[in-house]
Amino acid sequence: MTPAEIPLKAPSAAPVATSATEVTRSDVEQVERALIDASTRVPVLMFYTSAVAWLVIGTILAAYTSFKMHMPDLFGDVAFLTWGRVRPAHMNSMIYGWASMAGIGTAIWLMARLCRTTLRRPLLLVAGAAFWNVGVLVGLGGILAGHSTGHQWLEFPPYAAIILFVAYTLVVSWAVLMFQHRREGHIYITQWYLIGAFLWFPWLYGAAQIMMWVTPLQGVMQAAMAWWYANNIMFLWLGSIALGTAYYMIPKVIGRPVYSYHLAAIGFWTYALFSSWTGMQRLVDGPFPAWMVTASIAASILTIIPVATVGLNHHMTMRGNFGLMRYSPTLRFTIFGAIAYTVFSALGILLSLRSVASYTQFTQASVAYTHLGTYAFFTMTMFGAMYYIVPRLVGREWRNAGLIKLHFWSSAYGVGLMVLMLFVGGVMQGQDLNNTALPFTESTQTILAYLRGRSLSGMLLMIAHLIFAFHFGMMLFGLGRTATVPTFLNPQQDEAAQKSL
Amino acid sequence: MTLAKLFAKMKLSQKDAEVIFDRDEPVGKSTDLVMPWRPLFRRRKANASPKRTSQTHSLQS
Repeated sequence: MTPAEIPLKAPSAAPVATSATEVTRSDVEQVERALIDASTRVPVLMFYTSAVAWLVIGTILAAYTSFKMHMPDLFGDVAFLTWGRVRPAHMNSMIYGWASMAGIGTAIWLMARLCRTTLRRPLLLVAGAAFWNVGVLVGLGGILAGHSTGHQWLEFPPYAAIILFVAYTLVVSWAVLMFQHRREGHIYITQWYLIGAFLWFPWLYGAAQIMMWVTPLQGVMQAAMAWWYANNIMFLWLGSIALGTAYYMIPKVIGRPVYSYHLAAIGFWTYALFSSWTGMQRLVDGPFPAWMVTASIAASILTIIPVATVGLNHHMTMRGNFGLMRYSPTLRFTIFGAIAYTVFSALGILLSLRSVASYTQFTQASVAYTHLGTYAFFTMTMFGAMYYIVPRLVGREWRNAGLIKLHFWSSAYGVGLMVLMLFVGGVMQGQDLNNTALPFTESTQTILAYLRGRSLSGMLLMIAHLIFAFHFGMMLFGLGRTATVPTFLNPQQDEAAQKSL
Repeated sequence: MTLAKLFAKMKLSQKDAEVIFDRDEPVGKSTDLVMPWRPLFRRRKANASPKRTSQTHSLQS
């Protein structure tokens, strides 16, 4: 693609100042917005760069984990490369390295924009990002050295968790400061989700750390605690950030306000109310009090309310504008993520039912569900946000539309194939496991073909991530395309740059 | 804060949904439409419509 193929014009149709002293309100808003974006540049890019680095590391670990599932002898005699260590390393690098850092980076930018104020105390955030990286690095080192705790998404040894908590305190201190000094009176729905996420994460992480290691729960209750945490870190932490982002990006890109703001409010409160009760449905038929599991199943079913409200709201907002997805990378990824949220929640409700869980519990279907939430929903939404935000931070446009399209389709087909393979394979595996006449080894033979298919889909995702990392690196090093509009409105842009197009 | 004030704040207006827009990116104007669209299979010349990238770019006046 050559730059000339992109139709661009002057930043604004608003009246242009005719003399040096005549400044319109539009000009002031432009300068303010440019200042806000400029103030977020260093911390947001630091979070994003770290996130992309963890994404690549996590993807390599994921590919290795996937191949180990059908090639178990691969580096079998190297302790730190055994499946039991690499898999948690992969999951934690993705959740705390990629997802959390990309989410925080996006939240910083959105909060600054929505509070309409320049970033205060950016050093807090820079220090927070540095500490967070150290925490993830120490945690992964601990897991690979054999110090994993063994509970899903809580595998980091306690000494790494402390570092993460210090980092998080710095980030949340900044968020409170930013919110206190906001200039915009109204709190937009995106801010609700982001503030919710900022409050829920320390609650989840703190409660889990205290109840697992400081004053440990006894026996099987540890598993209940761990699943409550794992489920809610997906819903209340990552999910909130992704939904908040979608509520900003979709209306902003298509230029139409959210279809129903009341519906958005209902969606938020019901999401907060019901999601926090979920988690125990992953323990159907386990040695737990029946009411605990039933309460979580009921809460899972009730999440249909926020899912319906959010889905309906996004659909009605987008109605008549779906064609714009061809032209906007942000819209493509965000809409994919929004649709995936509906599918993810619907599948979650289905899998929580006792009759279904008896087939899918402890099978690869559970892994399919997790990938649907963390990748198809959260990660795709974050990609969309990054395609929107990064040009506004670096003052350049993405270099190549072909790379964006390749990234999108590789990700979409990759995660689609992965979820399909794992879900179908998981159901088959569940059927075999329920057949008492069949030896256990037979069930592993049944799923082998699906695991190979999963590795293939993993390769597609690796291609997508490497392309994105390369493209992002180009932007970071100032190799993006020079453009003035429409993706960013920087009044200090040299007019010559536009002429060169 | 009194309960009355709290309830008053909770009465959300659809107008609040427009706070993310401003003069440069107002309601009705799309942003971020930066990718040219090339269909995989081009239509025959007789049926070909004008180039869509420039037409649908909302910031084009």
